[in-house]
Order: sequence, then structure tokens, then C-alpha cells
Amino acid sequence: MRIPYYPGCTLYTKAKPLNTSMHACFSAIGVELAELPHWYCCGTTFTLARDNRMSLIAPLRILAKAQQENGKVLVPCSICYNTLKRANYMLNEDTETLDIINEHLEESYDGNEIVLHPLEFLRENEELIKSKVKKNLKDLKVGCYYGCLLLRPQQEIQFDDAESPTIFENFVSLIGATPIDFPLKVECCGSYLVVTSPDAAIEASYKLLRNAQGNGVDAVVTSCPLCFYNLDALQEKMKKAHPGFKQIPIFYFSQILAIALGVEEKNLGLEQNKVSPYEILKEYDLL
Amino acid sequence: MKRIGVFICHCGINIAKTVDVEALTEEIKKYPGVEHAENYKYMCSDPGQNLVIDAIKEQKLDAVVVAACSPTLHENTFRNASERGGLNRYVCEMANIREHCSWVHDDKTVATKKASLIIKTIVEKVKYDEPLEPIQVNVTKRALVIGGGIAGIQAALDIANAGVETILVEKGPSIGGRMAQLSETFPTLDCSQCILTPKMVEVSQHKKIKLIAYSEVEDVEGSVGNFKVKIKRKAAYVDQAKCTGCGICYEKCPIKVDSEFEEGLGKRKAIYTPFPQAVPNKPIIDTEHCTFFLKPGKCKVCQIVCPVQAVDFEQQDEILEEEVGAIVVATGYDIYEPEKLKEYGYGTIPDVITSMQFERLLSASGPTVGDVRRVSDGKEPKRIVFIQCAGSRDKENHLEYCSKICCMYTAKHALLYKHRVHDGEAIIFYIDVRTAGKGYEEFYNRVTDEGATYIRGKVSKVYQDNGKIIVLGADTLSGKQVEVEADMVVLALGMVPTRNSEALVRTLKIQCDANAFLTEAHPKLRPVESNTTGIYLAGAAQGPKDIPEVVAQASGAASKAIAILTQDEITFEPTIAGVDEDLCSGCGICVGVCPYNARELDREEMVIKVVEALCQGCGSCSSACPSGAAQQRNLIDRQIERMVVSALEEN
Repeated sequence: MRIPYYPGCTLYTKAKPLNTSMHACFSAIGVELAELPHWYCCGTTFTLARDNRMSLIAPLRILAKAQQENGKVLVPCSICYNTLKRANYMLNEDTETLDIINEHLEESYDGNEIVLHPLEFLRENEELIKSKVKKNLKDLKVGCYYGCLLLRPQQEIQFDDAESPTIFENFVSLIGATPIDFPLKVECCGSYLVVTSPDAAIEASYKLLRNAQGNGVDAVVTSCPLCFYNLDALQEKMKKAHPGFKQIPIFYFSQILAIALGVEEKNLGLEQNKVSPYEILKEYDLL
Repeated sequence: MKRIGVFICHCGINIAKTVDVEALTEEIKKYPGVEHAENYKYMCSDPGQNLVIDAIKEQKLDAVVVAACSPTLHENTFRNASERGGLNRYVCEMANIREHCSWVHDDKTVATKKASLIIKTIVEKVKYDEPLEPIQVNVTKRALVIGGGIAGIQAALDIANAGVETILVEKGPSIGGRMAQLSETFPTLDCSQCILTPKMVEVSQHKKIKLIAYSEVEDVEGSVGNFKVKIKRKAAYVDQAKCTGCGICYEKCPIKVDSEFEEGLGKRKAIYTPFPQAVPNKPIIDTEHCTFFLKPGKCKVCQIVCPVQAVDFEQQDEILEEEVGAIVVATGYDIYEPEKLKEYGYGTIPDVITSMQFERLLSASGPTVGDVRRVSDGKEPKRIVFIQCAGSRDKENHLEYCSKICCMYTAKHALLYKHRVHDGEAIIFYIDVRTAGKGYEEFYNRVTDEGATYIRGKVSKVYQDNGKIIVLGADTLSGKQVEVEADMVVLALGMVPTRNSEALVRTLKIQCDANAFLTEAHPKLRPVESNTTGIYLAGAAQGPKDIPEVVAQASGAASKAIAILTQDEITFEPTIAGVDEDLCSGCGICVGVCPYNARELDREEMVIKVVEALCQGCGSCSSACPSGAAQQRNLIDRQIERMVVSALEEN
């Protein structure tokens, strides 16, 4: 199987482990990630104003490019996923804009491309994944953190129920680990405030992690590079603000999937995780 | 040929400013068939009407056209005048030169020309108008009230007190409805049961009221004055005639089930009355939980202990047939499903409860005898967060509308809680506080004076952390996020029409809106009537409202019903569709298009018969009939044809 793959900029910079582990685990399940040739920035979520057609050009061109492959494109970054999926929704709602942009481009796009998150792909291929799982993650208690971009706005994204989603937990169960529900799994991590008001982001992320810990999780998994950064890299500062805070490892969903699939350690990208994941993995005999 | 008189009204300047009435009068005088034409400043005034009456007599007119306003305004006025002049009222027609002409044009020449065309087409119509007699129908002097909540109770009592026999059908085992579940009522803090139960007893003892509880209306046929109703009396497995209501059966019954009346906070037995003051006070058996029905033949304790042998496991559902002249629909409301508000944790956090559950906790006859206690551990909550608009005013996710009563009942909840737990803290999150109603703002002031804290903002999430309930919200006045630790959370849920009442709406052939609330005939001027004559609406089934409003509307609906039911016969407009049996081939197309079931195919004669009381004169059959046999009286094809020709001729 071969599927068009749009990594987005962050997977080549801050979120390299997500890219590395995506390639590793998809190769382990026998799916080739066909990275789109000459891809460029998705435009990110700020640009999606309904009255600005210019901002839809970049997403449209990406979708048109992907369409030449097979009608679906895999997008692991939550920000790119949100941007492309919402742009697609808007272009389908407003065919006049779709026509106007098409008239000005060499490419032509009909609005039918399906933007797929890896978690959706995994949900569609449960049997395949199950058959490839090699390591037993049974006792590893995993808290699934969704963030906002995978879920909202619900009508446009239609990924899962925005208030009580379960797709992540189902994935964790699928690879044999134990999902632990924690109430703040859909609350804000602080997002871009980490740049302008870092204290607010530290507090927001700290609250999430403490809530997860209170519910007994060993580790938190997430899919969004920005959430990952806030939850992982800010833990030193959380500790300074809250001396009693005990650090907790954060994984990309693809890292934990790769572990279950028995991928070699060097392909997991773990060395870039700020909070060391090795102790917990050794404790559960997963390395 | 008919001698036709045309009377042109100035309507002050409403018409005369844009239409040259003098020139128009001269023009119309020349039109074939017009014997007499004149104009006057206010034709609807007494002198104006006298002009019509005198002209009919003096000019020996056979028909009258009044060129003035819309027929909905003054058709009756001028038909009455024509009658006084000695004509049949149906040979008097209105030509609408105000709404259809003067009000919508500026150019006097054009408007005058158009007014002339309008009048001429109506002159053509009236040439073929037949004298008609109103249709008379005998009235069955009995009423049916559906739903035994406060709305149905009030309507039934009002109708019965007017001397009209009334059947009150209630779906559940007892009347009383939602009001019976409430603790105390705003703004006076009357005990709800104390003011309701006397009315319930009055219903049961009223000589003119026949109470049929634990029953549902299955089918309704006929029309105003003569409805035929089928009522399914569900098997209660207790002989209602023999049962004395002694209660030994439910005392001894070994099966305990969550009580619907207690909103799941208390228990009832498998044989039960919903609450001690139930009317009728006769138990029923819940076959979903009764051991005898789950394991056939087992248990039978209730049957063994019953001193009058009233328990009858063989009882079957029964269909009762009744005839009534008018119907009041008072099917009430349910609260919005709290499970849909996933962010508030109802169902997973035991101390997040609904407003209706809180009513039961506050009620002196409730599961805690009026003490406010937590569901989880029975402890007294020291801080309660009340969330207003839980699921209301949220177009994207839940109900778009405001349920009107939640602000007031939440204020009442906070006050009653403070009265029960003096050191307790009541925190209320709100979008707006809406207190329109007599004494309501004063009540709200009293609640804030007594120490309830109001925070303007929505709650985004309720969750449990280390056993504590955390409420996250926004204070939009200070622009800050708020985090409150609470011992209990009460969701002020909105009202929705009683679930599963759609089938009844279809049976009654009345309409409901997008939210399934029953639709009134006019939102301002006919608020208690449905679109079907003879069927009236009362209570929250028509829209969210509080008790005083429900009672007022119920009395309104009752008075509408009484107005019909105290007459021997009622009259209908005769301008309905008939059948020319010589032309009718019995194809039956009109039967399918008739929205009122007014047309039936007589298979012996192979012609259509019309049920005159049902026909509303909509004209669907006339336009569908391939042979022209279905003709609307005084609007036959020939008339329409002549009117069209007349309108086009001059152009």
C-alpha cells in the first residue's frame, strides 16, 4: 500500500521525532508514505478567514497535488491537518470560491480530496495493525491528550466528538496498552502563548499533566507538535513553578505505535524527547 | 343578467391619495353589468354601510362589489350589510384596492388603472356567484383534554365547571404532571403539591369529569363538533373498580425499581402508585420489572395480599371509543437530556444532577424529606454551583431557544438551598438573568440579597479531580477564568416537548414547529388555537412557560372549547368544494390530494362524496380534478376564467 504523505514544516524542524517514527511505523505495517513532491507551507490556521480567498490558495494547491496520487492524503501534524481539512470544507461549501481560485491556477481541484489523520488511518486498518503488533504494552497506563486542533471546530473537522472523543483511546487499546481517561484531555495546552506569555502556557500545560497524573497515568501521548512541545519541553519550568511536580514522559502516538510494532530504538526519535522516556520504557520492559 | 352595485371606498386618504376615485367610479359605471357605482370616504362606517343597503333596495341590486380593503378585514361587515339590504351574503364580494393597489403604488394613473382592473375582475366573479346557505353541524357537547398536568387539569376543570362533560386522558398512572414533582414555586414559594393536589382531587370528584388515567389517545377522526376518539386504556393488572387504594400490595412487593417520579433518586415497587397523593390512587404493575411477568407464574405476592382480589394478571389493553366536540391538547414537557452535555459530566459524576432532581431533593415529600444531600455520600453540600442555560441558547450544539423558566427556578433553588443550609454557598453561572414576570425581579433581588453569588459567564467543563468536583468557567464581567471547587452541581436544563408525542400530533393532524412545540393558529392573536378548528393548545406543549402562564393559557383554551360546546350547532362557511356527480368518474385523485380527509370515494356509485364539516375550501381538489367535477362553490373554473379574461382584455 502507498499513501500520499504531507509532513508539513514542523516535522522537519521541532517535531522530527514525529516524522521519524511515522516513517518507521508505517514501514513496519507495510505502508509506503509517499511524500508529496515540492510541498510547501499549509498556511496554518490563522489564515482561514472566510473573507480572504488568498489564504485558501496554498491549501488548495496542496490538495490538488495530493489528488494526483490517490484521493487521500495523510497529514500527521494537527495544525496542518486542521488547516487542510477546514480549507477543504470551506471550498466544498463555497464552490464559487473554488471555481475562482481554480481559474487562476495551473492546477485544478474538484474538492474531493480526503484529508486523513494517521489516527483515522489506523482506525480504518485495525486488523492490519493488530496483526503487526509485536510487543505487549499491556500494563503501560497511557493518558491520551487530544488538544484542540484535532477536534474543533467540530462541524468542519468531524474527527470525533469534541467534548468526549475516544479515537485516541481506541488506538491505545488497539496496540495493547491501557488508556486512562482524564477530564482535561481536550482542554488547551497554552498553545502559541508559549511565545508571548510563557507563564500562561506553563500553567495550562501543568494543569493538564497534573490532572493526568492524578488519574494514574504513566505517560501521556499526543499527536500535535505544539502540544507536544508545551507538555514536554516546559516541564523543567513547571517544576520551578511547582516544586512538588514530578516529571512525566510525553510520546507522539507514532512513537508508542512504533514501540508496539517492535521498531528499532534508533528509529523512534526518542533522543529528542526532553523528558526522558527511557526509565518508564525499561520499567515495562519495552526497550 | 344580474344588477350589480359597486361601492368604492376612499379609506380616508389610504386609497384616495393614490387612486383617482372619482374617475374610477365613472369608469366602472360604464362596465357591462354594473347598474350602480358610487364612492364614499369611509364605506365601512355606518353611513357608508347605509349607502350599500339603500342602493340594494332602491336600485334593486342582485349583487354587490365593495372596492376597499382586504376581505379578511371587512368582508363580514359588508356581507352583513348586504343581508340587511335583503341580499344573500355570498353575492357580496370585496375588491381589494388598498393592500393590493394603493398601498403598494405611487403613480396615480397606474394605480387607478390597476384598481379598475381589480374591480372589473371581481364584477366578473360576482356575476356567477350563487346564493349559498351556511353549513350547520350539530355539536357533541363533550370535551376531551389530553394530558393531566396542571394545564390539562385547569382546562378540564374550567370546561366541566361550565357544565360541559369532559374526558381527561392521562398517559401516566396519575395526574399532576411535572408540577407534582416540584418543591416550592417562584416567586411566592407556595408549596407546589399543596396548591396542586386540591385541584387533582377536584378533578377526581367532579361530576362532569371522566378521568381516564394510564391511557393514551390512539386515533382521532372527524372534525369540530364531532370528533370520534379511540383511547387505549393500558392494562394496569389491577381492577380499578375493585381496588380500594389501601396500598398493601406495594408495601409487600419485593421488587424495588428507580422511581421516575423521584427522578431516580428514590425507589418504588414493581406494583406502584407514583407518589402518595396520586389521583387516581390505584396502583399499576410495571411489567418490565414485575417478577410474575419476567418469570411467568412466579411471586404473585401482591395478588395474595390484596384484600379485595383486585390484582388481575390476565388484564388486557382496552380500546375505549368516545365522541367529543372539542379537544384540548396539554401534553406538557420533558427536560433536555443532560447526557448530551458531555462537558458537564452528568452520568459519570454522581453529584452533578439535573434541576428536576434538585426539585426532588428540596421537596418535603422527596427522597431526603427536603434535606439537601449529596447523591454520592449523603453529606450536606456546602457549596453548590448552578449552571443556567445548560443546553439552552446554544444554537450550534443544543437548543437555540430560551426556556424562560430556568432563571427563575435557579434563583428559587439557590434561595431554598440557603434556607436549608445556612452556611452553604450558592454560585450561579448565567448568560443573562431574565426575570420578566410579576414579582420576579423582586424575587431575584431577594435571592442576591440573601447571599447567592451570580457569575456572568458560561461553564466550559465540570470534572472530578481527587474526588472533588471542579467547575471551570469564565467570568465575562472581569474577563477572568474561574475555577470553582463544588460539592454539587445543578444543571438548569431547558424544556423540550414531551418525548414521543409526535405520533399524537400526527393523529390529531395539528402542526408543530422545528423544536416539536405545537404551533398555534396565530402567534399573537390566536395563541390557544391550533390550525385545526376545534383543537386547542394549553401549557408547555405549545412552548416553554411557567405555571401562571400555563394556567392562563389552559383557561383560554377551555373558554375557546366552551364557546363551541355550549352551542347546539355550529356553522361553517359554505364556500367549500363540491362534486358534480354527472362529471365525476370516481378516479379518486382528489381523495389523495385532500389534506383534510374530506373526500371519500363511494364505490357503489363510483362518485366522490364530500364530508362538508371537514372541507376547509383550500381548492386542492379543484385544481387536481381532471374532469372539472370538483368545483369550489363561488370559485368555479368558469368564474376564474372570466376573471382572467377580464383582467387581460384591456391590455
